[in-house]
Amino acid sequence: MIREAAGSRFDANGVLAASLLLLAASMTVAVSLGAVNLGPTRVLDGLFDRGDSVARQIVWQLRVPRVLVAAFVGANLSVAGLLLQGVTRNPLAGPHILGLSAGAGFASITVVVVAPGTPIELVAPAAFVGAIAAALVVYGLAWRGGISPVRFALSGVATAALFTAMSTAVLANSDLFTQRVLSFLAGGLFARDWDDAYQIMPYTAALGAVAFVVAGALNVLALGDDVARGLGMQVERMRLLLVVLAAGLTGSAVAVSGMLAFVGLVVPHGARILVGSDHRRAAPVAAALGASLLVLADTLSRVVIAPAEIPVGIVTAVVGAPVFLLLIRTRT
Amino acid sequence: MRHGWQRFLLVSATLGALFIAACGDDDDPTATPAATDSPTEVATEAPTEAPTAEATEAPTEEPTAAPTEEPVAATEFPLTVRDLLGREVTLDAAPENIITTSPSAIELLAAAGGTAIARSETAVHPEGVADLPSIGPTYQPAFEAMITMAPDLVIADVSAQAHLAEAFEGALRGVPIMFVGAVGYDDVATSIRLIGQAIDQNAEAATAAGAMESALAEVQAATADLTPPRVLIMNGAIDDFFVALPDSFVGDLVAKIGGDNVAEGQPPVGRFPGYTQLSLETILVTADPEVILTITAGPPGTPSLADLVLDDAGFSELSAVTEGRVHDIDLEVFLQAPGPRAADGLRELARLLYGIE
Repeated sequence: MIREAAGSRFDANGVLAASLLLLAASMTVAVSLGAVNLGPTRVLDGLFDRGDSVARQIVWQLRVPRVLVAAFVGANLSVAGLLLQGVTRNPLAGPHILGLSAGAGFASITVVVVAPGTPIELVAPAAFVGAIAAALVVYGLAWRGGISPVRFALSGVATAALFTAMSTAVLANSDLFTQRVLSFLAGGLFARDWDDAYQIMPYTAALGAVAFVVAGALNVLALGDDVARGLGMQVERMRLLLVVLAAGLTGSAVAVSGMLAFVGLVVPHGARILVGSDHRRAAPVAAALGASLLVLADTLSRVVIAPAEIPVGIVTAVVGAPVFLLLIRTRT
Repeated sequence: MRHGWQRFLLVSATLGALFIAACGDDDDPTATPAATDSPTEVATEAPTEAPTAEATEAPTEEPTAAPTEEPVAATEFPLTVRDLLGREVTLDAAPENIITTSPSAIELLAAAGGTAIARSETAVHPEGVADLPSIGPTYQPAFEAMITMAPDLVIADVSAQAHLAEAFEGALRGVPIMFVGAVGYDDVATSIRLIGQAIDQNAEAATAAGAMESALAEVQAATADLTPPRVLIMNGAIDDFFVALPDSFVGDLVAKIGGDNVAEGQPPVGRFPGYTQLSLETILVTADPEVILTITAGPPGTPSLADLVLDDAGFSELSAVTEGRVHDIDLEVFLQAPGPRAADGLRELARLLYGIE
């Protein structure tokens, strides 16, 4: 259970400023590094279009859009994780563990396999619907005249397994040229470009803004259902809204990056450690930290074995798993 | 990835048309629109009549074996052709810095008389290729590395990289990208001629493509009157294997020389186009292959799938096993790098299926 004190030893505004600074620094590093070592001068020439067409193409067509996609995906998953951990009052909750990613992945894969002519613009909405469907299944399974956080988490684990199995089944019977759908299962950012950035951007902006506005409700929910009702909150309705919001954030992320584990699980913990359990403060910090984490992880994935790449999902798991274990060991 | 899914549709339809053409089926009316884009009729704006000026790099090699009767014309630039994905590719001049992104692509380029400045990670054939700089793996080419090499032609792979067409175009703005490769045997000659035209090596390409066709004619003539054996083509692991359908590359080669593929008519299952998964039970009950061809993938030292089949109790009752006709065939030639070496591949198959040298 989330038990940190409302306050924190850090100044919340300072933490937010520092996270944004970290994000800016991460993105700078990410645009500077890649399979080819351009050096700072050429990167700047490319960035400001100073007559170096090779550098301009590498920076503007390859690195910048991919860094943006990584940032949006990281922010979406982290905020979704924060919402889900708050709703379930369970520190183990996250878009991956609760089956939202699996639902989004299943919807994406099904759309691509069953109707290969579907415009890419419709994959994100499909993933959104898939994540919401998964959320509703989880919600329905957990419902006993109310939602118990533990039952919610267990239903999520079962639902995630179900949707992942269904994805595998669809893939096993798929025909030609669906290699791209494999990336939905593995998670990756290879060859993501401006179209992918434009796809996820509106979801990050709109749903992120809503999440920021309603994050305060999580503070009330954290006091327990009875207290929240006593304070006039329609608890079940609010919980549903928050879950749907998390589903939207997760679905749009999965549509462009596939299923990336650990980001949505680990980052919310980091945000709450830094700013305390006030979700209005934790939400923007989680977004900035999540974006930074995925931007840095993706940079590693592009650079370590260049010109080949390590799938970014492996990097996030390698970084995320030990951090998560550390959290479990050090926090009661 | 704008219009990525339309591209998928086009690719699927194009390759569907290819398969239909390769298998000699009746025209499927639904495939007709795509068939006009099919690479079998490569649109070209090259001269139809012999130009006055011959290409400077015209045949310098001594003509080998059978001289081809095809008219050999120099390419006039700018040239617009359709590649094997049905995309229009325009070249303003004969390319000099050519990047290949698959083992198949570099072998086809070499056969057409061209040389590459870069290869994909696993491309090591023909000789000397292994020394070229690598642009990373075929399934994840490093576009940054390609951009810095300032290519004026990128030759990509129609089988392995069709789904990356949008990514190639987005990353390599202004660079002609030509998708070639071989889904079936005939595509090898088509690809070689197409590359030859693009690099203005029409004569050498015509010779190489002609050699592919005469190899086929020769093997077909030698095997025409012989009784085709029932063949099972498998790759993968002994307890989790994939079976090649007639529309896979190796399946097409076997079909071309009359082999009776026991998997014919089975729906494709699994993640590899042209392959399916048949249970051992199905094979035992419905078809008793007389020849089993295996393709072994794995690091050096991996036991060949043929040896595993011969040792496996489950397979022991099959005719192919009792008669010792289980053969491992080359991974690159028949699966990973479909290309010019398939001519020798055909001869090898004729030997294994019919016992003719």
